[in-house]
Amino acid sequence: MTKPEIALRAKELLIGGLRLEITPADIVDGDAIFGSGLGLDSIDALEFVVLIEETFGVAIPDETVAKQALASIDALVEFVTHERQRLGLS
Amino acid sequence: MPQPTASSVTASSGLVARFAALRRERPDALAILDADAGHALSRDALARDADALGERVVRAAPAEGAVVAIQLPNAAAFFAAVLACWQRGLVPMPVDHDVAAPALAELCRASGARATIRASVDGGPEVSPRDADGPEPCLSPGVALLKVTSGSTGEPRAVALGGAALAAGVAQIVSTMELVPDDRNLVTIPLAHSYAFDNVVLTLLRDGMPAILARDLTPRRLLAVARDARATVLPTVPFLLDVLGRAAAGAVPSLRRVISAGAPLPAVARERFASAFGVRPRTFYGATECGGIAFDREGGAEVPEGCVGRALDGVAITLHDADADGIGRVHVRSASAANGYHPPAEPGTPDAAELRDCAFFSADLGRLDPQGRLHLVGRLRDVVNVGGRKVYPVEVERVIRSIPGVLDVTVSGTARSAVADALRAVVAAAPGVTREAVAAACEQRLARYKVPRSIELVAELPRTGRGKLDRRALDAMRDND
Repeated sequence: MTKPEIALRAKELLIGGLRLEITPADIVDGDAIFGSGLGLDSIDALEFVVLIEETFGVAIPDETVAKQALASIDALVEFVTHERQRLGLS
Repeated sequence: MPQPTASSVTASSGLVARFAALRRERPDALAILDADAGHALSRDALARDADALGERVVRAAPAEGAVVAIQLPNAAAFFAAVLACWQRGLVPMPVDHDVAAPALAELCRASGARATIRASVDGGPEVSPRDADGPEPCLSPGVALLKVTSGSTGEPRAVALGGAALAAGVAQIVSTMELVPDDRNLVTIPLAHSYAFDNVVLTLLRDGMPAILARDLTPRRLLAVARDARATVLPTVPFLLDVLGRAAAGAVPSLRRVISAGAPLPAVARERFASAFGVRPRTFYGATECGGIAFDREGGAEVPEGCVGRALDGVAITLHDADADGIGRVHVRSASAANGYHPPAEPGTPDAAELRDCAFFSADLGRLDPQGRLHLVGRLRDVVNVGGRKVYPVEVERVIRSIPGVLDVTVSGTARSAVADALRAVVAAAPGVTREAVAAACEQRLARYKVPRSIELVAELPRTGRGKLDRRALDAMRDND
């Protein structure tokens, strides 16, 4: 998966999985996902963790990693790319 | 100052004596494991913490029977604070960690609390005296605990429980759920809520059942904690069971009893969890006013939707004013029922949930099947379930309506997933009112989970010809977005 593909898929998961009423274009790649204007809470965060794991085949072991990995779409793309390389996934 | 009463000292003495005996028997036995902080507390260490905290609490609230509000996160200090109050003849009032400062102040005023125990900046418990700024507390003798409920109007209010009701409540849970002193609770739900208070705090004090505290609920982390700490019992809420079942990150061989309460658990989430972990979650139904009501005792794969199981041991369920289909208001008679609300409800106050003569009239509507299982079919009033926490839209509407420029508002629940709802507010407002202003007002005055996730501004709310809110038009507005 290329980085733009991961970014788009992550936005679709965020919107579809958490039923947000926005479009992928509304999400700025560098902006904070949680604690920002999207109004997401800790329940959404757990749901998003599981969606990311299910979709990209990566593991998010704890809250510290989750906070870094899910900080923004940019951070998520870096995390997923790095983890998929490490796991030998293309 | 509250009048000292001899019985306030003895109200909770049964549980205090039980824990003192457990401490004498095995002082080094594990009481609390705080997985995130990485430290464990023995029975003896917990009792010593309670003794030390008690010294500070009585300095702030010296009168016997005084109410002490406890607003602490899920940490060892919560248990120590409750025990400290009971050892000193004080009446603890646990308050959800998420309750905002103004709501806490109002609860303290209404209940006549004389001190608060809250988390200080360094995380330890901080005891602060409170000046009497409200009505004189008139707790009836024998009250041991004030439990806070959101109440049917959304206004937080306290219910007063006697020591006997506390003891009966935990006994009903332990016997019906077949819990044993060697069990270990994995704690993922707020200790201040009735559910965790009974299932976790009281089982530790009565039976010495250790509590494994986990604040990091990331599925992989939580499962690792459960495995390492050999948790056997998981009392939790449907949305967490859903994410754990989907993450399915390794087995937890010690787990033997999984309890789901606070919201309906969809069959697909229940069965996914069961196949991932080999333990099928059992539905538990209860209320702050009366403790546990019903439990899925059989744990079979075929549970009809809305079925919450049979009455707990020692609990009698009847249906009040049942119609031709047998559907009526759930009425509960139980030794664990609260004495009443504190302060008492004003006579004539229209209220959906009520305590009368130590019996509880729930706001839920249900029917009983031939096997004695209770099936919930609806509620007397609207309630939205946000991840296991009940939110009454009227409370949120009240806050939004008070914002200058807001003309009208309606708050409702929308599905955010198969197991959780989110709040949606549609606000009719004059030009100049912004979504940010509405969100800010909510964040300032409501608990975090009560802040609507979706806020839509409109010129006016759609109403039917008869002036009633047009729900269909509201839904259509959403679909057209």
